[in-house]
Amino acid sequence: MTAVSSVLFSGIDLPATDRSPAVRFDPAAGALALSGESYPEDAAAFFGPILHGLRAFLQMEGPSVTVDIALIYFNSSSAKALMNIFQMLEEAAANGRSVTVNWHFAPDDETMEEFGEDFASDLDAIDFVMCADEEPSG
Amino acid sequence: MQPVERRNVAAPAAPVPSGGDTANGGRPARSLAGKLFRRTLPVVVLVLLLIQGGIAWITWTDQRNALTHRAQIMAELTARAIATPIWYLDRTVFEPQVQALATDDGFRYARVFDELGKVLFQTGDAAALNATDTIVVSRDIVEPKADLKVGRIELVIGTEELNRTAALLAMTALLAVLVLAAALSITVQIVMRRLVVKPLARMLAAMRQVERKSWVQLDDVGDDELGQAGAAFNRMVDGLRSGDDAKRLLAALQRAQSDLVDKNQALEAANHQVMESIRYARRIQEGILPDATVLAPVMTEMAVLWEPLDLVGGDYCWMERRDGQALVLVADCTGHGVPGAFMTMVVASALRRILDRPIFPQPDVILTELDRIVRHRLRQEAPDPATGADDGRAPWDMSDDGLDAGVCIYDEATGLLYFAGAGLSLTVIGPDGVMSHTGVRRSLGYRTLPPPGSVPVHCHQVLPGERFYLWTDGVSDHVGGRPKRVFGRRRVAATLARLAHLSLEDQIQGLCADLDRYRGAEARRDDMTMVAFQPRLPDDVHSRAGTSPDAVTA
Repeated sequence: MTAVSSVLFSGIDLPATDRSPAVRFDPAAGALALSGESYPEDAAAFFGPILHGLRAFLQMEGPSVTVDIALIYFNSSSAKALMNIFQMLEEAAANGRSVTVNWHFAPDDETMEEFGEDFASDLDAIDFVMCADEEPSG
Repeated sequence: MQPVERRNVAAPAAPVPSGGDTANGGRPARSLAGKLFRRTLPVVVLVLLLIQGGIAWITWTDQRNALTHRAQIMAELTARAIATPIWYLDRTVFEPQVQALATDDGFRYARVFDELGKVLFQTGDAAALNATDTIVVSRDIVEPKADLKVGRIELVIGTEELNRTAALLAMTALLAVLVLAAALSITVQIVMRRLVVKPLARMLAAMRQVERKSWVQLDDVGDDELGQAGAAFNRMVDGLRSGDDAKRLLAALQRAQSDLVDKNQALEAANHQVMESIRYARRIQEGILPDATVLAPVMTEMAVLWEPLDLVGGDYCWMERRDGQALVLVADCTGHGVPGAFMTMVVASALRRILDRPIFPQPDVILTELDRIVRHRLRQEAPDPATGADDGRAPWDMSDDGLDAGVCIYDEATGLLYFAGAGLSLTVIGPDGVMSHTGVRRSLGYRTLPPPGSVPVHCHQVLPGERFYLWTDGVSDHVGGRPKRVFGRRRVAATLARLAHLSLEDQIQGLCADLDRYRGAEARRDDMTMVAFQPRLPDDVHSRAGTSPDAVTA
């Protein structure tokens, strides 16, 4: 079983660490969730499997996709990885897949709010929802 | 603790294959049963002999007495029978009587004396008188009416029968003693073997195994002294084993500890080497940072904070003054530490190429040129950013690095400040409060991002008392508080405004203290760089330079 098909089979469930977010990817439900902080030493290595899995998932016919992002801090490499995720989703959405991104942030967290707006401004096909939660990090 | 091996140790069947162990190993030179037998048998034999001898002696004496008594009765009866007056005159009186004595089995010899001691008659073997195996009795012949001794009869009875019986008895006794001794010997051997030798041999075999640190234990030890010894042996083995275990544990612990110390030392050495290397790298990186004093003639005040997270980092700034213009650039490259530092080198060399011309290009041109050169230099011009490289690598497996940057160019003659930013903004704090010129939400470089396109240039007329702040997101991205979140640009600006009465240097220090407090136990997340400056207004410039405004080229 290759890494990618194993991701599609069983999904991803990574607990949060000091430097990396909790990741839950449930291909059956079409749900991806990231929460916590993200500044891994090698963002490409951390996000690589997620990106590979998501790409393989989006290439197949499947359910609508819901992505929940509830980060309180991410570094620029992680921002790049998020950008890559959103671009992939945008492409899938442009091809007719129903994609919703819920961008969670604390009401007083202008930094995360601005990042969300920033991302949203580049995305047209995705349903990008700004969610000012009371407690985004859980 | 290894499990106790509880098994029945076989009797000395298995010989111990140890070479120089003949004194203790193998069969004993003199067996315990043999020793016991040799010690006890003579005593037993002697006692038996004494008892049997005594019995034989008593029996012999008894029978001899009985024989003597019989002989006396026979002599008495005969004496009485012949005791008639002047008996000796009639031989027919006593001869048949005395002859009759000879019918007795033991009879050997008899004779009759008269009162004067003259032998009147004798019968049998006279030599028997002096033989040793005989009993001799004599009786006076007394005339009953006158109670007068009239003669004497002497009778000799042989004791051969008696002696033969006695000898037979003695022989039987001796045989019995021998049989008993043999039986005793066999019994002792068997009992000794079962009760003593075998358990001892088991214990011995166990001891030899224990000598070789095989922790065997004796099972079903009895309740006798040997059993107690066996139980004591088991306890001793337990003690030895736990002692040995503890020793081995200690040794293993010591080994592990020394391994750890070695590893720690190796680690320390490696860390020291890496740190030394990075400190060296920092000297080099500091070398590409500008000398802030180059702008001193143009600035009333200036302060620079360059604080990489790990000695070196991805933050970079540059200042240069040329032809009546002062340039301030702050860049935040992807990554921190060594990769970030590499990126600053790329950016520094790119910037050198861009600025290597008589006059500064416009700020937006500087940014777009940086974008172009960085992409080219890092070979990010992939055939198609979405699909990846020719060799099948996904976009995220290739260099996908870039930077955020902000550039200010201050015109000394006009007091105009031009700003362009990609991912960075310029904050202005003046008497009227805080304002900022926001850069485009784009980054420079990055394979997977489109070029920034056109970047607007903000033109700001510098007013008296206005100070300018250009910083990387490492300054505002301090994570702290509860619930945790980043400090944020707005709070950085507010803090700076609150500290506006201080010098730029103190203001930045105050801000850093605030950030440290906010962060608490949390670690810093990123490199941080802030360049703060307050330009001299044109009048000052002119008065100091002593030239008229007209002389300055626009």
